[in-house]
Parts: sequence; structure tokens; C-alpha cells
Amino acid sequence: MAPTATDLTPEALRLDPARAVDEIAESLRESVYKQLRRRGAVIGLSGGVDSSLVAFLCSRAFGPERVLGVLMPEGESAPDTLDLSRVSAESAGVETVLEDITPILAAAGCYERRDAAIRTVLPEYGEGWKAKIVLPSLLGGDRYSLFSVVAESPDGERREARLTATAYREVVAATNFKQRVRKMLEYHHADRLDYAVVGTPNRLEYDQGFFVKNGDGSADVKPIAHLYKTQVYQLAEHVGVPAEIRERPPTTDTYALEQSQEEFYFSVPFDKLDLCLYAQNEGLSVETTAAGTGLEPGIVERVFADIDRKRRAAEYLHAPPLLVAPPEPATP
Amino acid sequence: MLAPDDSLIEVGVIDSTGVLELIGFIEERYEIEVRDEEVLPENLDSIASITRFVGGKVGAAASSNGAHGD
Repeated sequence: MAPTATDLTPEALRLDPARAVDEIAESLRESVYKQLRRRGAVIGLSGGVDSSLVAFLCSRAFGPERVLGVLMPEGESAPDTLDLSRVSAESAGVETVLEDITPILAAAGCYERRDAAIRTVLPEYGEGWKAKIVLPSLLGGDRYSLFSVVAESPDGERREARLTATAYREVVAATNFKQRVRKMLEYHHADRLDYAVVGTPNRLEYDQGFFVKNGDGSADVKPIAHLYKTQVYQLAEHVGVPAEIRERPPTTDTYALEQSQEEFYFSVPFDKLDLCLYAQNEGLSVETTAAGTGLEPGIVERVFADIDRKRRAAEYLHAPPLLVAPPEPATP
Repeated sequence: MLAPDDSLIEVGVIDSTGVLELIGFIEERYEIEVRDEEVLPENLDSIASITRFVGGKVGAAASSNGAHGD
């Protein structure tokens, strides 16, 4: 039967939470103990809903004594990041280790390189300023979405400037140190304990390439990469992730000025993007999706096109190292 | 083969960073400023539209320079 408008409602994404949790725990045991032959799990805890859910799932799969949460704040992390990371570890019952990554980042030139790039488009940006990168909403008309830097002076004055391609890449390359340093430390603890590194991307992030290659994109197992963000929230509530974590808006926690993931990358509210991604995966029409999400059909078309574009761009991020074909044997 | 009216975004020739790249190239090569409100698909999304847009901007710059020169 052809899909109708009633085929797309938020109910389409609802799971049987008890069953989903059991399946993930079983899959984690199979992957980590049998395939990877490791004894437990290391998770980078950000205080967000994804890593908190993964901590609970690992605790369920391996027992809390075989899970280590690594807390890795840096000088520009949101003020509540560390406290919320601790809350999530405590509620999952797992041990933590604190690694302040600010000195490593400073030594690598993360801040210095980024600031120099920002100054190429915003010369007044300097000591005491905070900045973030934003991408205007796809919902806001026919203009192209262009990356801009938004900066706030020590006096609270805001400035915005369009980034050049070079400045954008320099800023991203510099801030990617944050995700890569965190992953390096997770693998340090995993090696030390003979544990596996468990990644925390959800389906939206994994599918759309919202991760840093060899940074947060790297892990031995990714137990929630098949879950839409709304399903992550559903399971988080079911397993008992505290409300203060579930109610915190998703953030990249990469830039000094508070920045939502929506602002940086997705351009459409999460619940609607989830439904659009689901609709596209299920082959539902633009009209059905528009009716189901309340978005204009024209916007749905743009979101579908954007999903395809991000998927194409993510191919590079997902690609393993490419090898040269073995040579033919030499003929005598 | 890219046709003059093919959408560069839809064909996958450029992405968000590619648009920034394109703006930078146009500004440097033709010594013109592309304002935020001009960053529209109708100005930049195909070879034909870029040609029209840049032609118009360069023409306007030349005539305004000419007026100053009189």
C-alpha cells in the first residue's frame, strides 16, 4: 500500500526499550569479549545524553567494574560539562579518570592556530574573546548556508563574519585536535586495561558524518550508531540517565561560545531531522514527510538533498585506509 | 560533462566549503566584493549564473570607476 501522511509520526521511531537495551548489551558482549577479545570498555564521557546512555549500556553489558569513563574537559568546555560527566558516571556506577586536556592542546597549538585563522576574517578577535562557527538554518529561505564565525568580545559585544574557505578549514583543522586528543587518551586507557574503546555516535551523527576522522569517529565498537537521536532519548530515559543530562540541549562542546549541534551542522531541529532521515531511509515521499513533520514541502526537499550531500561528504570520513592492489607475480 | 545550467550543488561539484571557495576565487580574480545577500543559488549555482552575476558586477564596477574618472 502506498504510504500516506499517517505513515509518518514520531511513533514510527518508538522502540520497545527493554528489548532494545538487552539486544545492545548482548551485542556488546559478543563484540568485545568474543570478537575483540578485550575485558571491558573505555568511554569518553562528555556529560551528554549519548555518552551517558553508552555508559549505562556498557555497565549493563560488562558490569560497572569493567567500565572506565574518561572525563576530558579543556579550558573552553562548557562550565557544566565536568559536573554532568560525573553525574552520568555516578548514575551508571562506573569508575572515572580525569584528564584535563588543556596543556596537550596548548602544546599542539590548537588555540593559537585557530585564533590566527579567525583573525584573518575578524582582525579584532584576540585575548579574552570567545568564538564559535555557525551555519545558518536551512529553514531560513533561499540563501546558501555559509559558515560564519560569531565572536564575543570581553565586553560582551558580538561580531559576525563570513569565513573564507581557507580560514574555515584552518579553524576546523585546529579544533579537531580536541577530538583527536580525547581519542588518544581513551586508547591509552584501553591499552593499559586491555579494554575496548566504545564510541558514542548516534545514527544521525554516524550517517551524516558529524564526527572527526580518527577523533570521535574512531572506536572499536559503536553500540548506538543504529539509533536515531529520539531513540537515544527514549532509551536514556528507560535506563535512568538523569533528567539534567537528558534535558541539556545537544552541544558540540568544541568552541568557547556555547554552540548547539544544530547551529554548527544540522541546520534543522533534531526531532524533525530524525523524521526526515527516517522518511528518506524508508523511501517516503516529500509530501508524506512534510505532513508528518510539519515542514513545508520545499524545505523537506532541501533537507533530503542536504542529507544526500552530507552522506556523500561522509564517505571520506568512513573510508578505511585505501591499499594498492597486490602486484601480479613476476613472469620469468 | 557539465552543462552551463547544471546546478553545481546538485551535481555535487561544490558543497558548503566549495561555495566559500568559489566566492573567494571570484573576489580575488575579478577584484569585486560578493556581499552576503548576493550569495544566492541564482547568482552562483551554475556556470551560466556565475557568468551573468560576475559579468554584471564587473560591468557595474567598471562604469562606476568610469564615472569617477570623468
